Amino acid sequence: MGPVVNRGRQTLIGGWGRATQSRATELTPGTDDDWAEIIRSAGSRGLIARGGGRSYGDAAQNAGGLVVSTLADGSIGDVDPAAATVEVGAGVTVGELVRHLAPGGWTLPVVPGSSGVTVGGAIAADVHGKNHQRHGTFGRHVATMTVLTPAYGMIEMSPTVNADEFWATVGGLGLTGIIRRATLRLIPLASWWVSTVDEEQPRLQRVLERLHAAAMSSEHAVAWVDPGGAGVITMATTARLGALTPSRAARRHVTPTLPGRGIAWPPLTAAANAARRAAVVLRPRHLRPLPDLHFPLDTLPGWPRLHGRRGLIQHHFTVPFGAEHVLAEALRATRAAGHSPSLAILKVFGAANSAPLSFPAPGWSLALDFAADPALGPVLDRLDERIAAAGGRVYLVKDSRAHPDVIAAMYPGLARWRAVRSTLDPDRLLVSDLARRLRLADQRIADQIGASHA
Amino acid sequence: MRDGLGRPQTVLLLGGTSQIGQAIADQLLPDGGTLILAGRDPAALAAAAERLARPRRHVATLHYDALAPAAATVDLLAVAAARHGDLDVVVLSVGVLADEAALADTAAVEQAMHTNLFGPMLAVHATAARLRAQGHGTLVVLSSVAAVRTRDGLLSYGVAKAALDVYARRIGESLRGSGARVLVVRPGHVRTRMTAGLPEPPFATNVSDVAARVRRAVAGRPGVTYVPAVLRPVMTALRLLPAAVYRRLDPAQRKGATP
Repeated sequence: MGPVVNRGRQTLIGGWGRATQSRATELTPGTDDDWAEIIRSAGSRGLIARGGGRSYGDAAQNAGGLVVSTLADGSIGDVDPAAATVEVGAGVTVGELVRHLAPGGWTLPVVPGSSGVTVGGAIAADVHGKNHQRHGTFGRHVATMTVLTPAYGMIEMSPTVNADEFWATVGGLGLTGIIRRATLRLIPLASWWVSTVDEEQPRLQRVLERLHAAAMSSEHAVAWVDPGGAGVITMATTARLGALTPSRAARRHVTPTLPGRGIAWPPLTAAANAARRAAVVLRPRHLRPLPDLHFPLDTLPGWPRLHGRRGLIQHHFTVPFGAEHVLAEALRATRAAGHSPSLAILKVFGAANSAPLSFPAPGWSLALDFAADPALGPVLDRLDERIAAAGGRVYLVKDSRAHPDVIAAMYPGLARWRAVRSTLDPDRLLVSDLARRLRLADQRIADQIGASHA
Repeated sequence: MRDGLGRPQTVLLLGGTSQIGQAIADQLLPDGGTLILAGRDPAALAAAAERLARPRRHVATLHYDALAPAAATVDLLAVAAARHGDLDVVVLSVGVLADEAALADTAAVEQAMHTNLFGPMLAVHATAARLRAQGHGTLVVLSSVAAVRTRDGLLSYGVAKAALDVYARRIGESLRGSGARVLVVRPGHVRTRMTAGLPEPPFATNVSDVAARVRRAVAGRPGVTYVPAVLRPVMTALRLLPAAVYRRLDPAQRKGATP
C-alpha cells in the first residue's frame, strides 16, 4: 500500500537556522514500493529527500513540491570486523550510530558538528569534522551506497562501480538520487573519552600558526576567533582512560527566541567572547566524552533562536593557504558593517576528494554565524567575490544567500556534475529551494524551453 | 527563490514601463537578481532595461499587453518562469488615468475598463495560479485610494480600481496556506508622468516613497498598504462620511463638473 500523496496538506518546512522556510507536502515512506510510488507521482515541483533537518538553509526544502523524509530508514546492520564496515539505512543519525558502535570498539572516522545529521544527509553534503587533514570528508569512508535514481531506479554506487555517479552523489545535495543505504568504513575506537587542551592566542596570525601545528599533531583541531582576531585553539586526543561505554546523552536546554539580533548584538557577542576566553585561562584542560567534542551544536539546540526572530545564517567558506588576508578581511568587514559574527570557527582542510561539489579543499575553513539581517547582504556579497578571487568557495549545503554566478566561479566542477546529474535525473524530479536559488540544475535546458515558447 | 536574508531573486513587472512599477522593482532587487520587464512598447522597455541594469542585476524584457486574450498572459508567466526560474515577486502596475470628461464616447469607457480592470484582473488570476503552484511568491497589485472612495472626476478609473482591489484581496485570502500571498498597494496622488498636469490633492507622494513602502510591506506580512501611511485613517474616515458631507469637501463635485 503506497502512501497517499495528498497535495492539499502542505506544511511549513524550514532550515535549522530558521531564516529560510517554504511550504511543501511532507511524506515519510517506509518501503521501497512507497518510494517508487512517490517518484512516480512527483509533480512538476519535484521532490527532495530530507533527513535530520540540520542544514542551516534551504537545502532540504522544496516550495510547492514534496519533501520526503528518510527517517524511516533507521536500520543499523552488524559490524563486519574483517572489513571494518557497517551497513546502515540513510535515516540513521550520526549520533545514534556513534553511540551504537562505541561498545564494540568502533567509530566513524568523520563526524559533523551536529549529532542529528543523518547518514544520507552526511553523504549528500559531504560533511567534514575537525580532522579533515587526517581523514578527509564523510564521503571518503563510504564503501558502497544504494541510491534510488529517477532514471535507473535503485543502483549501487562505489568509488569503483559507477564511480562518476558515486562522486556526483557525494556532496550532490540530494539532487542526483535518494540515498537509501550505505556501507561505511569504520576505525577502531580506543576510548569514549577524549582529553582536550585549549590554548588562547591574542592575534589572528598566531591563531592560524598554532592551529596549523595542532592539526598536524593532534587528532582533532579547531579554533574559535572573536571579531578582533584573538582566538582559542582546541586540540583533542584520545584519552588514556579506556572506557568504551557511552555516557548519558547531554541534557537539552530550552532556549527562548531573543528579541532583535539577540546574541549577535555586538555588546552581547563581546561579553560572551570575553567569558569564553576567561574560562579557557581558568581551566585549559578537560576530559570529555566523545559527543561533547564532536557535536558542539548539540549543547545548544536553540542556538538559532538566540539570534532573534529572523533566525541565523551561517557563512562558511574555505580559502587556500596563502590567502589568510581573506580571513582577516571577513572579520574586519563584517565588524565594520556592525554585524560581527556571533561565532567564528576556524579549521584546517587537507586534500580535496573527487566529488565535484565537495566543499573542503586544502587551506583554511572559516564558519561565521550571523543574525539574518538584510543589511548583511551587500557585505557578504562582496566577501564572496573576494573568496572566489582568492580561489576559495562557500559551503553549498550551509548557504542561504549566495549569488548563482559566484557559485559557478567557485565550483569549476559544476558543469561536470550537471552532466552526470542529468543522466540520473533527466526530468529534473529532484529539486530543492537551494537548487532553484543557486541554479544548480542545468540552466541551458531551461533556456531552450523558454525559447520554444516565445 | 527568496534567500535567507529575505531578498527576492526574480521580480516580474507587468506594466514594464510604469514609473511606479520600475521604482518598486528597483528597490526589491538592490543587490542583484533578475528583473523581467513585461510591457507593450519594445523601445521604451529596452530603454528602461538599460537604465535599470546594475552589476549582478540582469534585466530582461517580454511582451505583455493587458488588452490581449487571457491565454497570452498565462503563457507570458510560463515563459518568464521557464527562462528565469520561480517568480519571487510579481508587480502588477497596469493602468491609465483618464479624466471622466475625456471619456465622452462609450467605446472610450470600454477601452479604459479593459486596460484598468479586465486585463489586470486576468493577470491577478493567472499569477495567483502560478504562485500557488510554485508554493511561494508575492503578487503586488497597484490599486489606488480611489478604490476606497471614488470621486466623480475619475469615475471609471475609481470603479476599475475598486473592483480590482476587491478581486485581488479575495484572491489573496484564497492563497492563505499556499505559501503565496497578495499585497494590495493603495497610493494616494503619486507625482508621475500619468498624473502630470493634474491638480495636486493633499498627501501627494513621490514614486520613491511608494517603492520604499512596498519593499517593507513585501518583507513583512500586510495584505493592504497605503502610501503615505496616513491615508489609511484618512480614507477610512472619508469612506464613512455621508455622501452629502463628502460632496461639500470635494471641490470638483461641488461644481458639478462631470456629466
